[in-house]
Amino acid sequence: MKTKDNRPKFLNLLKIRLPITGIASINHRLSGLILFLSIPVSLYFFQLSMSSKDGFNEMLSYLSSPFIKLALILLTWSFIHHLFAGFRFLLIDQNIGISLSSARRSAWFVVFAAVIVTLIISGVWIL
Amino acid sequence: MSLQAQGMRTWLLQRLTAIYIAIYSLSLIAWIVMNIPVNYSSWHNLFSHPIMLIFTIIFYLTLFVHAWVGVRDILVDYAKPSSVRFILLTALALFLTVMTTWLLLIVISLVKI
Repeated sequence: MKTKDNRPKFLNLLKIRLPITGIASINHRLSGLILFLSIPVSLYFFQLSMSSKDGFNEMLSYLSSPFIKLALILLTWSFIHHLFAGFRFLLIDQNIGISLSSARRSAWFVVFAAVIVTLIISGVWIL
Repeated sequence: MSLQAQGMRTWLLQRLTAIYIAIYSLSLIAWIVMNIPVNYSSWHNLFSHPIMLIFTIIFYLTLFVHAWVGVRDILVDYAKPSSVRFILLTALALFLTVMTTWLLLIVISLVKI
């Protein structure tokens, strides 16, 4: 028998105070969405870079413009966070680190490691 | 993949595609880091190699499947009312179809040369 579920839902992302595991999770979604939006850009750059030597150099000059560099930093964070958080979810699927304390610890690790690795990569390769 | 794909199958699909995407991306990044500064001829040689081209096609196709499942999950949670959700899901499917066509056009242009 189906009954209507009348329990209140609260999905206002701006008002929910999330625990660290929730932050890792919502950042996983946000970073995934950013990576999704970069799909056409990646195809465009792939096409351009393979078209000719001039096209390849045109791509390189795009990559050195300040606006694209900013986008690249955001993209780097998205990739690193999505990778780390995804790996964490795969471990959790395998019943590794599922206790509340270890899930919190790994979430802290993912959130901060993603930021730190992004800063290092940005400093060394992008800026 | 059908629009109704859900549950266990989608769950598994998301994880299998994730593993392939991670391996491909990290391998490509490793190649770039080892070949800095990358120039046109080394870049072009890498991607016009038939095996790399096949790996790249598989990469984009798995990425599109992964994106379909992931963005669909986000839309199902946040896009309200259901008519808006339907329009956005249709737009997503259309977008990924266009991306697939674009990818195939790029690949065809690379194979002809």
